[in-house]
Amino acid sequence: MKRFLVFFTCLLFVVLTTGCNKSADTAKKEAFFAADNEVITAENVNTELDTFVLGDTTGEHRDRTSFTVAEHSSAKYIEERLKSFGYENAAIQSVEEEAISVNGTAIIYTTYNVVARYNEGKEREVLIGASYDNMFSGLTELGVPATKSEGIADNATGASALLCLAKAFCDENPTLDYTVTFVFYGASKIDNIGSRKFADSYASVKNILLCVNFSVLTGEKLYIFADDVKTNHEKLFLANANRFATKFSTLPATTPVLPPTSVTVDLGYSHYGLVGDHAAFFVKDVPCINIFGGDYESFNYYTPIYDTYESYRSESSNNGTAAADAANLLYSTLTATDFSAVATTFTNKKSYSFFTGDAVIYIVQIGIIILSAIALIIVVKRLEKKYPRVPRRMPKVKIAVFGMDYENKGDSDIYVDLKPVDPFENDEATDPFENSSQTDSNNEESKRDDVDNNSKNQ
Amino acid sequence: MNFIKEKKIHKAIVIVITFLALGYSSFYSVRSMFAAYAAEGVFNSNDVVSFLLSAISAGAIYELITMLLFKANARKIGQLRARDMQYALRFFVIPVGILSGALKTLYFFFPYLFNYGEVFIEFLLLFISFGFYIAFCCKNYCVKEEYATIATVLGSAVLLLYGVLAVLSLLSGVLL
Repeated sequence: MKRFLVFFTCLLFVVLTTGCNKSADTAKKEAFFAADNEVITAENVNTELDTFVLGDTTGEHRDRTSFTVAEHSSAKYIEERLKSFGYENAAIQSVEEEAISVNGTAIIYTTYNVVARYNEGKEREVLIGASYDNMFSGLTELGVPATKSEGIADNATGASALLCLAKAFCDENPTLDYTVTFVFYGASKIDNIGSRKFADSYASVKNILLCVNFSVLTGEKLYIFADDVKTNHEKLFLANANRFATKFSTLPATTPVLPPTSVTVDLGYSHYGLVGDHAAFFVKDVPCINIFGGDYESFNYYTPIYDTYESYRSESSNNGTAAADAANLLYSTLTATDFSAVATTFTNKKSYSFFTGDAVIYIVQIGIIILSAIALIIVVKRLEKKYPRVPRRMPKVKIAVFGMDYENKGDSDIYVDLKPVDPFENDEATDPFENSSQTDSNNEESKRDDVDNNSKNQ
Repeated sequence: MNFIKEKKIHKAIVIVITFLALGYSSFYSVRSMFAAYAAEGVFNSNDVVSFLLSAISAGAIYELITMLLFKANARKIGQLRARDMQYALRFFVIPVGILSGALKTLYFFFPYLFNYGEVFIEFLLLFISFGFYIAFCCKNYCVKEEYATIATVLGSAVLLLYGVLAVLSLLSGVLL
């Protein structure tokens, strides 16, 4: 009985401590992330999106074609919106890019990034970005066709979510020890020019704790991509994402590796997680999180979403929940108590820079070919020495005019012996005619004998 | 290996298997290209289309190159023997294609291996397999005095081909 009680007590102790640890972990997680984190609702996002796309006093922004007046108009709307939230520092940054037109002439194009900062002036910084442009009208000078897509999913949803997030920061006024920079990128449809130029404007990126990108925030599932190796920031976001209605997950392992884009050319490859405005910071080794939607698990490869406001709204899964959940996920993570301390571990990851970088690969390949050629030469020389090739000559036809006695019979040539008959070889002189008459009389005798024999036989 | 020398398997069957094996090996790069086209809205496809097209293109390129190489060297090694060697080569290329394709599944877990993998996996496996192929040809199709000649002809053909491809890749992919 005593033994049973002791055993049961120990078992109970083990179960309780394990259970407590688990609940302690959950409690720790919940304590890490801010308790009240549903600061943005789907309705907020929908209202923001409707106003942005369908228009307000500045007009509608269905057409936000990169490098055009329409894009500038959209940028001005975003700037004014941010200022209305309380971001006095909100400003449009013009970015110029030279491009070669289809006629071969160089043309300077201008695009616009809109930037606002919360808690400005801190040493460290978190960047949150989303593109806002589309290719509605196309760019005939550059040979880019008009898509007539209003770019609602890609990326009015991201821009609307970012506006709501910026408003939430202003309204909630969380205490942070870093600056939060909100960037609305222009010309993302043309080689991510807006984000590339914005990244290049940083003299040093070492104080950027995290770069976040919002893209295509629609549907019932969103993806989180940080890096091609395990990272702490990916783990952090995935752990926090479990509480939301929208399903957050990493990209399936079977998604194809893509050829490098102009931004990831130094990496040598790309994929769906690396396509976006965060890529310009990713290649500079800034810890990044790309929160994006799209269908990456269907039988066919992913194709861009072309939509209008009406077609977007007609799909029931596009009700703003995904965008709101993405914004809430980010808000709750960034405003978590120990985020700043945890953020210092975001750069701890396995380095794979050895595998990126083109020239080395081909030089090594050429080196292996040269070594193989040397090895081949050595092997061939050894084989020639071990099995020397006997030269085979074609036999010649020779005429032995004076007979074989005067020829070298040992070689492989073919001899035709033309040694004449010696007319003086026989000692007795012969009468040529004598021989012929003798021959005739002999023939007649033999014929008579044959006749006699035949008659006798009869 | 008598079944190779005696050509027990019909040529057409061997060619089909070669196409499939090479298709498996080049599937990932073709898949990458087609997924990029789809992402740009040019052309939609899927893994089945990628595999079929990679098999056809890789197989056709292989048959064309080997036909030209063996025709160019037929005078040195003999026309009939060149034909036999061309048949035998497929049996050494098939395992390369299959192994290479299997190793490239690493891309699913380590996408950053794509660059190195596309350059080295097939290249190194083919070099090893080709060494066995040269030994097989010497043993089965030649007298001892011809070993050096056969090794020179076959070895230099493949080294020259890969050397040209590597230099072109370096120039086009990196320097230009």
